[in-house]
Amino acid sequence: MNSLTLEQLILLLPELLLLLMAIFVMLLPRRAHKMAWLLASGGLAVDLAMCLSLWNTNVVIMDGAYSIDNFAVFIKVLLLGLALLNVIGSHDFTDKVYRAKEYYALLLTAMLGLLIIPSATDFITMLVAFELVSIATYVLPMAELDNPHGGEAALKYFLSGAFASALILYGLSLLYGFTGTLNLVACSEVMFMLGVHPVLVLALVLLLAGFGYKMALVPFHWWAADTYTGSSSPTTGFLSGVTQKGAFVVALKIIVVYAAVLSPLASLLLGLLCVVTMTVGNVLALKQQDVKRMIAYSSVAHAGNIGVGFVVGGSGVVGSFVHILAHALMAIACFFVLQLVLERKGGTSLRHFRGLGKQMPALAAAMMLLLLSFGGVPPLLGFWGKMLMVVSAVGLGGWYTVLALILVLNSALSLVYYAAVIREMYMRPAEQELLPATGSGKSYLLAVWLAVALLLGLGLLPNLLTEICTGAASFVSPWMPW
Amino acid sequence: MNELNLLNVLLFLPLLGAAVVFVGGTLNKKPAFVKCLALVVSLLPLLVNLLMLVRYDYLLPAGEFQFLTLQDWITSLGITYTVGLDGLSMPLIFLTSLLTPLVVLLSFDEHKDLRTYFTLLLLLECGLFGVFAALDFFLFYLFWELVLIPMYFLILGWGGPRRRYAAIKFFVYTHVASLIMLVGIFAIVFSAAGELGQMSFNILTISEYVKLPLNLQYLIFPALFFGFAVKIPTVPFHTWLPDAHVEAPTGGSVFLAAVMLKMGGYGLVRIAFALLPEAAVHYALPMAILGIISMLYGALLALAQDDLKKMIAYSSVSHMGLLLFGLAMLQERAFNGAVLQMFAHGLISAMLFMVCGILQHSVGTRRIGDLGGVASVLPRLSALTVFAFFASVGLPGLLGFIPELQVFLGAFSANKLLTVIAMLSMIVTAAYYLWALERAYFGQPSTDLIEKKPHDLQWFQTLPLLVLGLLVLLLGVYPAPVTDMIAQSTGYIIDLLGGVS
Amino acid sequence: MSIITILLVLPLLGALLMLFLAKQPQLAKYVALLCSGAVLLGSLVMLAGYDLSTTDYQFWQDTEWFPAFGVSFTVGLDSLSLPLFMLTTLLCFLVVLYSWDVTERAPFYYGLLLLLETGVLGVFSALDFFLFYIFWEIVLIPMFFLIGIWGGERRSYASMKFLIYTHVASLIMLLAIGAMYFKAADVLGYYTFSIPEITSVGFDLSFQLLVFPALLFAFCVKLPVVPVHTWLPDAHVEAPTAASVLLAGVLLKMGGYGLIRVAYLINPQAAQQYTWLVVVLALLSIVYGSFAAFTQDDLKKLIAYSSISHMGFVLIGIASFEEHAVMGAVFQMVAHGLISAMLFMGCGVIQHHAGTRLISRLGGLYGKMPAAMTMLVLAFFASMGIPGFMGFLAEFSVMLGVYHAFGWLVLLVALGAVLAVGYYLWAFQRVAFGSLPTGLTDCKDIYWYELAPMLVLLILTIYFGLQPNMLLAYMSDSVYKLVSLVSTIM
Repeated sequence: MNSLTLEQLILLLPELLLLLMAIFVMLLPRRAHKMAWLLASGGLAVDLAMCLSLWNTNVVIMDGAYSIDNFAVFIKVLLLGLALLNVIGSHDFTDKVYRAKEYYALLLTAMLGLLIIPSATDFITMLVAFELVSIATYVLPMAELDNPHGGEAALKYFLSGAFASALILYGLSLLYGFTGTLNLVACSEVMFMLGVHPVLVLALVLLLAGFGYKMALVPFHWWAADTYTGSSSPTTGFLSGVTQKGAFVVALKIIVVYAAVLSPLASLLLGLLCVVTMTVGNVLALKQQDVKRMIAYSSVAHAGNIGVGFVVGGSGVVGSFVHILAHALMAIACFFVLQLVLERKGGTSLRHFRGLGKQMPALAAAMMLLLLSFGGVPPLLGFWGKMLMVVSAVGLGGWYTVLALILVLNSALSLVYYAAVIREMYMRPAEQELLPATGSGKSYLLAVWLAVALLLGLGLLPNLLTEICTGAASFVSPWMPW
Repeated sequence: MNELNLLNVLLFLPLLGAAVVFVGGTLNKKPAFVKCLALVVSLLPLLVNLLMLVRYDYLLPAGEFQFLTLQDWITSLGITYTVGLDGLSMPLIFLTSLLTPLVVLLSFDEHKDLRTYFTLLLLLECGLFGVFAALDFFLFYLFWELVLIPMYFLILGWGGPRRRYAAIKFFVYTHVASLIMLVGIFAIVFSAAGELGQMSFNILTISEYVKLPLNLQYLIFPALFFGFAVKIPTVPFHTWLPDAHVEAPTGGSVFLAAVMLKMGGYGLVRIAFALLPEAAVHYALPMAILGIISMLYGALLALAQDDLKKMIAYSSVSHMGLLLFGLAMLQERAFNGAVLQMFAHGLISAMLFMVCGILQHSVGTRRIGDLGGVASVLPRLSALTVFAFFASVGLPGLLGFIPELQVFLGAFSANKLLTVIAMLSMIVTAAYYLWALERAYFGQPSTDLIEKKPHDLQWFQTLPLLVLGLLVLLLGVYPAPVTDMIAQSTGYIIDLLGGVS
Repeated sequence: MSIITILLVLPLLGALLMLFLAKQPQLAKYVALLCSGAVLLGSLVMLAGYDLSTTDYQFWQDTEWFPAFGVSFTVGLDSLSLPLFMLTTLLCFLVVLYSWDVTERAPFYYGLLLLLETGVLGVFSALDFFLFYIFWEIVLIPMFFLIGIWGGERRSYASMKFLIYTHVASLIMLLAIGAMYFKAADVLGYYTFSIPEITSVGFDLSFQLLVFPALLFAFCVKLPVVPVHTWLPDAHVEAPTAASVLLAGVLLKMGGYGLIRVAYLINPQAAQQYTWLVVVLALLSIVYGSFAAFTQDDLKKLIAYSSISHMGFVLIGIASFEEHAVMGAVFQMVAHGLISAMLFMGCGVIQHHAGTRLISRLGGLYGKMPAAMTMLVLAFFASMGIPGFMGFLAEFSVMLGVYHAFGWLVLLVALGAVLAVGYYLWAFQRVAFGSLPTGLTDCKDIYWYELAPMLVLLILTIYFGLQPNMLLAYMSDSVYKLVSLVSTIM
């Protein structure tokens, strides 16, 4: 029986700090918007620094139940950074929100769960952490009282999430019953000895379906558009930019477990899922008149894109990581832009974007860059992830080439609706004057430009990023035989 | 090459002249000034050409070129800048340089945008010089196409009511022919490259060192023939000519009939016959028949025309048929006659179109049906018209007679039947000219015509006609300078053809 | 740092500077002129330093950029790209001059032009596939905006069509690049995107047969080749003149350049296997483009279709693998760049002064604007391949080579040249002669800033048409490279 030593506790400091912060924010007085924001952002920033210092630690603690390797640290840093960006941008938003401190407290709680997921070495820890994230985010859309759609969004999100959890639990019980262990590595070893078995396949299908919901893969995507559209934009940014990405980490871990035995099947299954997701997401996005809904569907499509990298493996995983970061940045920033457009023009449908290029040139320019990055136009970061995935898929040959071709065609298809927004902004005259500003909106712009700067900067100098991603991926991809 | 080659001067003088006229005309818009400037500028090439005639060496063996310049140009394609003259091209060059000042003179009563008009005339002269002087396929083709542009604009800008249709028809028709010819040239060049070991567009090199295989000659010859036959023009490729002539201004018509048609004949001799002699022999009979058809058909059509200018245009088709017929007989005398026909027809048709143009200008119509009794109203013009018509009919003593005599004499010894058929055309020719004279010029003038009180010849119209008439008469009496020059240079081609003397 | 890098960065800086000129739009054109002028001068200086005696890439710069994947910032010019590079700097400068009277959102406009210049120059000088692709895509964006903002009535449709069409093509190219990247790594033992290194690998035939069609498709869309040409007429019709000039003058050349540099030089054996496919496509382009041009009432659309036809000459020239034809194809790219620029400028002048480009609504313009009409008809002559202009030499050379390679098939190519004469002259006659429509009685002649660029182009077209030796000397190496590749195969 090894108890937790002090050294190990130090390794757990980021998680503990986050827990403390969440509780502390909760205890703040009702009107302390600024304080809550300060604590949340400060806490996340410090946490980020701590996690960074864990790079290259590579230890397993708590009887092997908690692993701090480069992959985990990378994911943690990534998600913390994204959350920090989201929190920074949310400053002006929470100024007006009645339940600001709840908003930040929930956000921090969700982050706690997200910090645990990458380190988890067994299914139970992973599931519990994921439920922590889920429950916190179920409530998040309701934090803003005067958002009429918040309740609906939260309810849909909750119902689908509960259903997904049920599927996952059922899948896990099958897995446990069959292998006798829930430890990821052990599970994988047992499977390797037993070989392919229908029960394993069924468990895989259930797990994939369950987490497919969380990742909003088609056909489990139906909640995403409503939830993303119904929530207020900063919340949506967090949901699609941060928590959804957590689901990808889980999915990756499951794939790794199954990789040893079911590699062709698992990859084929996931590949098919990705193809359908990309295509359906894009086609649906194409038909939207509301930009927010459009971006929501495009998030669905991008989930498919990210999945392609996992299917491909090797440097494709690196591509996936890059694309996770890129899409998260784009989504968070884009939803802030949408929030600002909503405030200044009274809506987010396509016609509200008309003439934005003249009315708000800086915002429009940023939005244009974001959209181009969404569409995968070089040298923005949105291009690199896709590029790496495509190139490695083509390198494998066979049906992966087809996969790459579909990804590529989807990317072109997506450009149609992204370009439509650009067209509205720059090539059509404005239909209405700007509404008077309710807040300064500076924090939105700050976050947006931070994201754009990152997209552009990392796009031009992707060296460091890909090296880190490669390092992280090397902890995963050795188990991916395909 | 230290010595200045007069031919190069001659080639580029009109180009320079065109620029001078254009700039001068822009600076000083007075018509009188532009006219005088153009006249002076167009006389310069004539002077240079006369100087060249003086220096011309009549004793050089056949196949040798004078005033030769050979310089590398586009080395990677084996294209050179080669120009030179022999007895085949010299008369035609002289014809061109002579006609330019005469046409400028004749156009003194033109009013519309004189500056551009004269510029185009000079450009045309440059192109024509180039065609006759070039001894490199590329250069030849360049000038060949260059000729089209000023003529196109002359028709388009100064032509009759249907000028736009005529201009584009002229351009497209001849351009198609040029491209087909170009393909033929490619074939020659590649076949030659195989033997020479390198690409060369130089006609001299190719004709000297290369003997093209027979089956290839049989293939290439029709392509080249088509290119040249359109230009000549031979029935059935002649349909652009009447249209172009009817619509073209007088100056344009003169150049068209007198010089541009000769490009076809010249090309046929210089390129098709000289480089593909076996094929020429092979295809001689069909060519002769085409020539006869052209002669007869052209003459018959001329007979049916009501428009005087159209009649002359068809008579050109007929006369050019004689050229083709003469060449195809593969007989020395006929061959030389045919070549001389080019020169003779150049002088005579220039006169014909001039008188026709002047008539149109002063009376306002060219329709034979509307005319009648012109002789009593415009006596001087009518006298010169009669002279020109007789020259064209081939009246002994005038230049038109000599080539016909040569061709028929030579041809008779080669193929009696064909010659007899061909000679039928002479009767028709005499018929349409005399009939036209009778209807248009003699008889009682209509009251309309008398009331109009048309101008008779003015000095600037008389002078060109007199110069041409004098030449026709002099060379008709004493043709030796031209015939010698031609005979000296065609000899080697006839040898190649294996012609019987 | 190579001079190329400086030339690439300079317009980009100019474009960035435009961001700060929102308050003084009247300064924008001076900045743009200065900037593009500086690039032109710089490229001339560079040209003077080009060493003709070596076939290597010159002004080479190779900076590591993204070493984990073998990506580097590699630029350099050889005899294939140098003429196109020079063409780009020249045309961009002239286009800025030509658009002297643009006032609508001027800084944005000039900024886009400069950005476009960077993109195109980058495409022609990049020697790393990654860099190549990035520049390739960058080019799309400013063109999309130029068409979409300053374009005609259906600009929004046209700009979208342009963007999507060409984007799909470039993505297909990306797939092919990915495949070559991995295949090359198998052979070389390390990952690299370097174009020269991948070129030197020499893939096996079965792989080439797979990659070549993808590349062919990608570049054919750009060139464009019938049947994937449909974006071009739309884009041209709606684009403002300056954009049309660059589109036809430079952007189409990217397709030809890519075809030679990537598709043919890397996959010569496959290219040879596919010769007939390419030839058929090229002939289709030549003939169909010409016939389509005949039926157009919009002068600009006519010119657009003639571009398709002329690009068919490039394609068949390359496909024939014959020395003269390839030379002609490369020459045609430069020639068409200069000539089509002239054509579109002339068309723009008509549009500008007469207010319409529809031939049926024009007529008798020669009396009103003689200088403009003279320039237009000279451009027409240049384009229809009249000897003495560059266009002729290009077509001549291509036809020469095609005759050598395919024999009498050349007649079909010649048909394109014949038809060109027909549609150009017919259009010219209807525009310049006939009765003047009542609405056009007070239209002005060409302005100096429209005339000056056209004159420069005309002089160059004639000069290189008569004295092509210098230009050919710059091109012959690349031609030799391509042709010798094939002769070693066979």
